[in-house]
Amino acid sequence: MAESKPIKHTDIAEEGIIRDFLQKEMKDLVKYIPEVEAAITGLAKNIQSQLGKIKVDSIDTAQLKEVNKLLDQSNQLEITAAKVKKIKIEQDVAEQKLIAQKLNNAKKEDAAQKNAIKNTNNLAKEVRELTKTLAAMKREDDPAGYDKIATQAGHLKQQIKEAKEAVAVFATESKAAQGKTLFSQMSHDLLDLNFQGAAEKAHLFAGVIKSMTFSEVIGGIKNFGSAIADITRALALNPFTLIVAGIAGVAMSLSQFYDNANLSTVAALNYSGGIDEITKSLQSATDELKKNTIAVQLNRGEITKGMADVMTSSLDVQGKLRAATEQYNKSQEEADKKFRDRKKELLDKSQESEYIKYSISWKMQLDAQEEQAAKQIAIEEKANEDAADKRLAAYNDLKATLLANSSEEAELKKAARKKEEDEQKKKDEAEYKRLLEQQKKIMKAQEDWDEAIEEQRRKDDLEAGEARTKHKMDEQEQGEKNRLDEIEAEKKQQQAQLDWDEAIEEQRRKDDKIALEERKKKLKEEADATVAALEKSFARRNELTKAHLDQDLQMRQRSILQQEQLASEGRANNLAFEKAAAAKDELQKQQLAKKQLKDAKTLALFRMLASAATSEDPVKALATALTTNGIAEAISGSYYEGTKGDSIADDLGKPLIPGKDGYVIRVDGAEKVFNPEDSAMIPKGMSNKTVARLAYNYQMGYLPEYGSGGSIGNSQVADEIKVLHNKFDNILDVIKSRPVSSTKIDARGIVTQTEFKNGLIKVSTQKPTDNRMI
Amino acid sequence: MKSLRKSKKVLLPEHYSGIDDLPILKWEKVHETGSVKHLLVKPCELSQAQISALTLIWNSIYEEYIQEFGFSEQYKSIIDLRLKIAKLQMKKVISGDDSIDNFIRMHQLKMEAIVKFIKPGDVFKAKKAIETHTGIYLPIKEISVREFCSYLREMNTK
Repeated sequence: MAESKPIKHTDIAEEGIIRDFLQKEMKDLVKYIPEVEAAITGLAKNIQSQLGKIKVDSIDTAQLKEVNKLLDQSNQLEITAAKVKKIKIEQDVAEQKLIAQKLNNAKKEDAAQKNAIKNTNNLAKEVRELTKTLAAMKREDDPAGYDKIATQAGHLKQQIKEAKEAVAVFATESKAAQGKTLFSQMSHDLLDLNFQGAAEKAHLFAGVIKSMTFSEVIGGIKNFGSAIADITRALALNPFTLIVAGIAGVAMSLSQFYDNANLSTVAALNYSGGIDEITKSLQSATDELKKNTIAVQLNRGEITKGMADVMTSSLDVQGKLRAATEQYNKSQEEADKKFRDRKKELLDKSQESEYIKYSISWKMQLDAQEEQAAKQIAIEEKANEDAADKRLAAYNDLKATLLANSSEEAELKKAARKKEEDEQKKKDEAEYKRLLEQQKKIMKAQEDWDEAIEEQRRKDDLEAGEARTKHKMDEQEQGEKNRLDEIEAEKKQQQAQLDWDEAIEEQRRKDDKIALEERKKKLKEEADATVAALEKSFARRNELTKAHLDQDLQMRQRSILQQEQLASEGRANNLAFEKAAAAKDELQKQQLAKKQLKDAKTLALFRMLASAATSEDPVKALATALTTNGIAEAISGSYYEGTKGDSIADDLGKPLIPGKDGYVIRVDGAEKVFNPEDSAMIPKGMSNKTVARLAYNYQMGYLPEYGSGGSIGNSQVADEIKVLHNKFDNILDVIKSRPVSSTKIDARGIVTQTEFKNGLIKVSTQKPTDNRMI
Repeated sequence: MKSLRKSKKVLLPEHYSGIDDLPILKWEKVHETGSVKHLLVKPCELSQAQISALTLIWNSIYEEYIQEFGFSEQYKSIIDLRLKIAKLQMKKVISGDDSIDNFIRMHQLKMEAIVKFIKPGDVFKAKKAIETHTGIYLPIKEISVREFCSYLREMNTK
């Protein structure tokens, strides 16, 4: 928080605007100071009220901002109040200076008057000395010297007269002449309708009049007589000037002057008797001019209302001052006149006695009279001086009173400045002593306060140290306890966590078990359905196959009987073919029986798989089941040893689960798979096609049979192949030459016989009725 | 019709924006130096506009801190004294009694004594105290203002 600081030079610099304003219109500003003070007081009360509402205990950030704002405002307000106070003090000092200056000027003027009176008195004393000399002399003895002294005395009398006039005039001919010139020029300007010039002259005239003391004005007024008459005449001849604002003031003032002073009779007046009236009227006219000028300036907006009031008030004060001066001057003049008359009377008497001096009888009387006159002159001079001093003192008092009454502020200071000066001094001394005592008390209180603060600080430090030690020990104990509590709580928490995890795991296991049971159940149902469908499919297939084979075999048996009949009759037949076909059917029946057995195994396997899938441990159950039934070996053998039949389809029948991925071999039914051992026997790079052709050649007997483990060279193989080719050619010739016939009897009993011999086919048909060959 | 004026946005480097992510060491740095540049995650040069924007962020962080942890008792005492001084100033302005300056000066001395008694906090000492109290290691470059001050508050309340 900023401290309340005394106003420094920098603060004064901040007041630049206020200070400039004060220099220009100080009185105006002073007039507003009470309003400013009232505003400051109102604001201070408002802030005080708001500060009282703040509760520090429940303060938050938003309220803190408001508090800071209020604190800033209070600081600024205090600084402003201090500045206003300082301005008031400065204004008081300035007013006091102004009053003192006026008083000094008045004293100077009065001192000049006093000096002039003293000079007059000195001259009178010199005249008295000369008169004594003349009284002692005789004209007959030294007529030239007597005349010279007499002339000198006459000059001195003239000087006394001029000195007395100077006392009244105070040698201000220059300003008076200037005023007269301006007055004359103003009248000429008015006659020439030069209103601007007349206004300027009137302004200058006002300035000249303002700068003249009342004595100068009195002395110079004699010179204005003709000029006043001229300007009055000019105004009377030119009524248009009345409409000109600046000149209207001049006209009105002089018109008033004319009325008051009755200038029509000025020429007839003796100036010594008319000066007072002329002076009074002229001053009144001047004041009226000024007031009118002020009014005009106010109407034009050139000055403020406050300034106009101040200026008007100032004129009133000056008017009162002039009245007081006039009164003083009048009394002074009366006193001077009496003094002059009395002195003249005395001197005349002394001069009359000069004619008597020729008479011896009157000489003593003359001396006595002169001595008495000198004494009387001295007494009256002294009385005159005393009266002058008294009048001056009375004048000073009156002037001071008037100056003090010039404004409301001056009136307030009247008591403090003059009548109560001594009292104030005593009060000041008492106040100074009181302040000194108060300052001492404050310093003592300050020292006590500092000591108390220091003591409190020491106590606080000590208590804080003890409190810290105790607090530390308590903290350690509490910390230990807290740690144990925390460990216990942590254990409980861990146990609770474990219980919770276990419950979660148990629930999960239950859920998994239920899900597994569901899956098992579903799998079992699917497996049972699959097995049932498979069993049904196998049964249907085997049944159809068996029926087909039985039917075919039955037909073959009948055909064999017929062919045996034909053969027994020596007729062409295909007994061998039918027998071969019948044998093939038998073979297929045997294979069908094997396949039924395999199907049964397959179904058993599927059942076991389904059973294992629904058991608690599917893998273990499956292994146990496979081992127990010996199927595992069969299954593994079948995969390991390759296909038993000619193809996978022969071994497995129809495919159950068609599959195609990276781990599943997809085979067609006609394909053949070698086991690893057989595959190892096949040379690298030999294609399946070559292997198949070799197998075919071997089957057809095109390849020789060798002992197991033996090997033959390529040339030998080629030779053998050539021999085989020859044998084949021979057999082919025999076959071609051997007739092959076939006989077919249709439902109508028509027998068709077909004979194939040497590449030709011979077909003969025999009907049952005529037994003819077609 | 949309206004053509657009608000000028100040782009800031990566910075901390609250007491939850501001490390306590950075918080102390800002208080020690008075520079808001410590709010940056990686130090770099900033323009005046960026510093202004970062100052606003710091104000919001400080507000958040006050909202969470409030004012200290000593700070409240200082506010109380400032209010008393302001009330006395207003009393002096209203009454014109210059002797009130003595009471103002008395409160100012009291406030100076409190301010002098307040010593700046040492975050490292506080860290050690918390670690001793809780038995937990505090990574002072990483632990947030909220967490650190919460530990302190907990210690003070026990």
